[in-house]
Amino acid sequence: MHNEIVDRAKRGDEEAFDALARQVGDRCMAIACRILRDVDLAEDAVQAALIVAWRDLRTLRDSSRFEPWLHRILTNECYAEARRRTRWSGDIRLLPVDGPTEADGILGVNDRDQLDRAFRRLTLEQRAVLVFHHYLDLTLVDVAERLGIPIGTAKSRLHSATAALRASLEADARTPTTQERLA
Amino acid sequence: MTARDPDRLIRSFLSEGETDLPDRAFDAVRRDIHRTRQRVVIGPWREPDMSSLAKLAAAAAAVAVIALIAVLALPRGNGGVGGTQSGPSATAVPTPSPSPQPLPQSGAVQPGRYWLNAVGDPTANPLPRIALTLPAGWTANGDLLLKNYAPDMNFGGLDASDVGAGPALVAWQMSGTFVDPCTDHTLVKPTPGPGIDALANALAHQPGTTAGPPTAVTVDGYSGKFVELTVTADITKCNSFSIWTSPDGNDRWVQGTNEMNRMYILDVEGRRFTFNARIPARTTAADRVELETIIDSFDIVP
Repeated sequence: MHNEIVDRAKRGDEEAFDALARQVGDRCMAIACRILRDVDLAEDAVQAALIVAWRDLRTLRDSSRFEPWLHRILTNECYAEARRRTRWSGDIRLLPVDGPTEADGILGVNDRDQLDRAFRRLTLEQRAVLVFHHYLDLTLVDVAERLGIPIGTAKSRLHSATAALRASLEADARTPTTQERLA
Repeated sequence: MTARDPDRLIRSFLSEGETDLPDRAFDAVRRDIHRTRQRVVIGPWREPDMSSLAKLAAAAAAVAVIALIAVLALPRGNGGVGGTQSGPSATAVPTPSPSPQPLPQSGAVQPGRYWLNAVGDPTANPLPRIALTLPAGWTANGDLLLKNYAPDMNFGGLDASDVGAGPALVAWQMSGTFVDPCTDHTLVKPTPGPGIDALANALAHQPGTTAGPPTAVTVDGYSGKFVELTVTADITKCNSFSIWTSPDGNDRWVQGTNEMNRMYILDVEGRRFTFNARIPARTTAADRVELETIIDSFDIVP
């Protein structure tokens, strides 16, 4: 991230902010998709986060911290987007995200289904910690800073979320597959 | 058969999915930012560390400025009365005030008499204006007046240019406060009514701050109250530390722990009118005196 382009955007340079948005937009989309498990909601959340970032950019003290600062805004917009959708529809109908883009072959269909179901049962706050820790490979200290929560809270959310996902995998392992039942 | 590693499975699961923001979203953002005004931040974020030499120089400058003020005194506006309780007793030389000029949009302001426009309330049209007398060393940036800033300053990325940053003045209209200036920017409900006391009390009772009691004041013949609020929280732990909001939804962020803000709330012909003097922790005694003198020079035109 070039500090210069952030500084230009702070001075109201719309071209600079557009360039900045294009540098960080895909990564934001990846994060939002994983927290919300819904492509349309994620797109709305990223758009809203970028607009808020533009509006509040002058409050960013250290230009080199633009991306962590943006990620905190993005997470809040993800929560807000989910709440808005809940108010309008009464229930968040989360659609499956697109198929694997980086399939590494270790995840079977059953595992994916179990994890998907378990993940959707997590709170948005738990999902955010999982995504920042496991997808962005951030330490828990960095996760806490990026989400604006105490380190203890980040640890607790990660622990409970991981336990829930592990439980779903273990339950899956204990359940005979259709093939086994037919055998 | 190898044992399954749940963490690896979770990582693999999270690696799947959409990773591209479509072009239509970038286009929409581009359109929206064109219509979205960036929020104004008063003053620099960073308070510079002063070396001993710089402190010595600042003290010497303060003595020189106080002496200069005592000898020359600044020209005053017509009808400026009282100011604040701790106002200076500089010997004013009665000289006719020149006609106020519009402030430059940005950059250094030459000494003289200017119009300071009130902002922050698009529903009140027109807002009162303030004619005031400025000595040397002040900078305009939009509707803000700042002392000892580099003329080419920008509000977002200051570093060396904010050395010596002093007080600031803005006639921003205030309408309410937040549940917590640091952690919860939900507006306190109900918002203070249109009078003086409710807003003064709201400003004086905010988490992470200490404030003196709302104090009666008269500025240019208009009575009201001021609240002196000092930030005690460590604002580096906050996304922003916001001490009030305006009717048009702009928030006032403070720029440093121990920064003091004096919020004036006046009754100007039955209408609540507010302005804010920002006094950073390192403001010199001379700059404080100068600020009082400027406020004494106010001519508020409803």
